[in-house]
Amino acid sequence: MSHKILIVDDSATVRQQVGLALQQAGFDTVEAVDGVQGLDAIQADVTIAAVICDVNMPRMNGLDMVRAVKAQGRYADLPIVMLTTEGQPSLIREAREAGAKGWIIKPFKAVQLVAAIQKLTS
Amino acid sequence: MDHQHQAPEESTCQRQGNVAQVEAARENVADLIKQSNALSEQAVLNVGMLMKSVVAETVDYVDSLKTDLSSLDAANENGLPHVVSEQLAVVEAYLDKVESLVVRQEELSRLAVSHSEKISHAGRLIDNITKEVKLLAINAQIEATRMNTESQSLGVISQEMMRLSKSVNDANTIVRDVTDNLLELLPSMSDQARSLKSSTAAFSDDMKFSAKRIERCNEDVYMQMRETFARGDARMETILGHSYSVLSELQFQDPSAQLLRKIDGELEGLSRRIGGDGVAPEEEVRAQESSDLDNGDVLLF
Repeated sequence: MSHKILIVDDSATVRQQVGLALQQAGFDTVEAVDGVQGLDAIQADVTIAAVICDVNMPRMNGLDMVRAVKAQGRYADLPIVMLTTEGQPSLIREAREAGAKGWIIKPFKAVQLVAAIQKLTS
Repeated sequence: MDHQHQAPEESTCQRQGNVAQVEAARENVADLIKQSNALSEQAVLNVGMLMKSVVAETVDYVDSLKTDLSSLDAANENGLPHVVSEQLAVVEAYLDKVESLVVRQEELSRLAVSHSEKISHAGRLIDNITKEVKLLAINAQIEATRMNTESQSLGVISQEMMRLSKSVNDANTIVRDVTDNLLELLPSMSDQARSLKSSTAAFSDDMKFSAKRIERCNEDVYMQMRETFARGDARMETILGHSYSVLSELQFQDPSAQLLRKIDGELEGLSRRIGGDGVAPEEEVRAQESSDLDNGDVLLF
């Protein structure tokens, strides 16, 4: 059975490229353009197995979305990986403290991204 | 009044004018950045969709190549070589049958020769008996002549014995002729049987040789097709690899768009400083932090 992965990014090109990489590896994907839409998608679909989330997004950024998701106990085990161009240690620390499970620097390598998601969803 | 110094009102007014100009320029730059980002985003999305089609077509083709290759392997496993080996088995069975018939015929020929020789020997014995009978008949004839008319019956017996001797001799001649013909024919029949065996063996060898050639041709065709499929598969994999590389390269768009947005942020900060609030944007402070991570790095917590 293929896992469903939510891709949250305001960049359509990133959503497309992440989607292609994951679909090629056998995952199903759904998309959201910012933290608000991402949070709604997670609450509306209990079959989402993992989330790939950008940091810098309009309306609600990625770190706020992680905090909002993890504030709801039922999503404690939902793995969220941040995918961003940012690499500052303070941001990474914030993400970990918020409950994110990983941090990937853009531009990503499809093989490594897929391997990370496979590891988190296995 | 010192003309080198402007009045405070005039200076504030000029500064506000400068700020307004900078702000207007920033808004222009921001608009251009948005347009540039939208343009590059659409182009990258289009290229991404095309590459997705290339990848999908390639994956389909690779799958069909693999299916064709499996069919080819199965056909090679169960097809022509199988039929050829079945044909060879039929020929081998036929040859075995011919050989056993030839052996049986040789046995029968040997037996016929043996019986014919016995018949021939019997013929010689009958010859001797005929001669004896003939001699007895002659003696009887002499005795009948010597005894004159009183022994007419002996003369009749003598004549009958002479006729019997002639009949036996005639019958013996027929049997001898038949036996002689048979003895002449039997080796010829054996020779023909051996010739048939030899021809069949030669035919079998030809069949085996042809079958080997067919097998070799089939093997060559199979190997060439397999190599063609394998080359196609390898090329398709290369095309797939290049397609994924192109897709990876397309990731430039988002970081590039973010950098352009940062230019906008820088200009906004500059505008604020010129405006006098002197507060740098939060991102600017964060950007000064050093990062140990490189592009593509994956960090799992």
